[in-house]
Amino acid sequence: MKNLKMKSARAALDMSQQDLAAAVNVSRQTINAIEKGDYNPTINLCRSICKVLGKTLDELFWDEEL
Amino acid sequence: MMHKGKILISLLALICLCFFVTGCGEKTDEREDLSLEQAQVAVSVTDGVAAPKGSVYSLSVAEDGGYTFYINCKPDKEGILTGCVVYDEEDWPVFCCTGEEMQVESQNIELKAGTYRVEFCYLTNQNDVVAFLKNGWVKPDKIDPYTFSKNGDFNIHLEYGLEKSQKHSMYYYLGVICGFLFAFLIIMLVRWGILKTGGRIDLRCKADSYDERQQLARGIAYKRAFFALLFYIAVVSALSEMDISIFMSFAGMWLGVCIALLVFVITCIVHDAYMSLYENAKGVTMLISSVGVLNILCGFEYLTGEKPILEDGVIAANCVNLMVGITFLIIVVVFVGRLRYNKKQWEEDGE
Repeated sequence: MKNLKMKSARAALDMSQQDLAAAVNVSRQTINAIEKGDYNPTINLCRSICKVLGKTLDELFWDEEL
Repeated sequence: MMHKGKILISLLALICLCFFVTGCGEKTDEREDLSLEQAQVAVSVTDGVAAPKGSVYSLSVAEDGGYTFYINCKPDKEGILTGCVVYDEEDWPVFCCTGEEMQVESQNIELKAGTYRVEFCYLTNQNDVVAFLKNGWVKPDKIDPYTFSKNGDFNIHLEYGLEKSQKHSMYYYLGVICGFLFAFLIIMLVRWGILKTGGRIDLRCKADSYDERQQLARGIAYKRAFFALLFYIAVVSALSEMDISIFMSFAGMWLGVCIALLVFVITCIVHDAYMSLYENAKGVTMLISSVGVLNILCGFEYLTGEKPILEDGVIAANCVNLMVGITFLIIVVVFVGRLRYNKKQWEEDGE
């Protein structure tokens, strides 16, 4: 499932996928895969992304449908 | 660091130049035309005789040293097995071989000066074959005595001889070392060229070179490559059992390695897990292209047909360079194709 919350949080900070990838020390393709829902990141990567985007885990990665 | 690198490269170049010059002192001993003794034998073999027909010849060894035996045998028709045993002056066998039609070159054997007796034995029935093989200490590999015809007249052309094994001088071994150093120099120059033009490559394989998603994908790639290699070995073994031994050679082994490498790399590329976090596309493309082109150049004579790819029914050993070159060029094509695909996706996503 696509992670649109993460995408919009990133866009709100005017960050490209490459910028976010460099900030959390992963490849751009990994950020792309997370946003497209093709990859489930580990908790450590989730926390890193939340820290950079200034959001909580629930705000970015909680699935309302579960 | 760059200053040290330049010093290193200069030193290596100087060392290689010195060895190259001394290596020129190694005269390439042109192998003299090997002259073998020849004999034409007409033999009538009968099933069940107590002592099979045979013929005896002699070879002289002038001085102690390492020698190579050459035994060639060509009968005019199928159905006869020729055994050959070479005895020294004390009647100890020093070499033996068997075959229907054979061209045998022995390994290096240490011989003393003297006269050696070459005995050929002509066998057709099962008892003869088994008896000879027991005395000659030769494993009866793929010899089915039941297929041999019995009671026949055969004309057999024999050739036999020996040659003193060539020994290399010190310059030869220095030349080998020079070759390895030269290869290292080429690697350093390629790396320097890549870094100079803005490329980034990372050969350290550190734990943090790849992110978690890439590591997962690489794990899958390793598994697929492993099973691809296993499958290749199984196929080659099955083909060998059917007497198709084209891949049973040094080059055949490397073909399996190249196939496994291709599976691993293509899986990584497709999952965007080939390039590490410390590399860029330019550096990786230049590195892979360099390896491919250099190996293609080394194996160019096989590409143009100047040298045959098959030697004695198996892939020639020196074809490895061509194989590796083609493998790396395929990798370049797939890698560049993936880069273009990613770029297109990126543009469509508005990034």
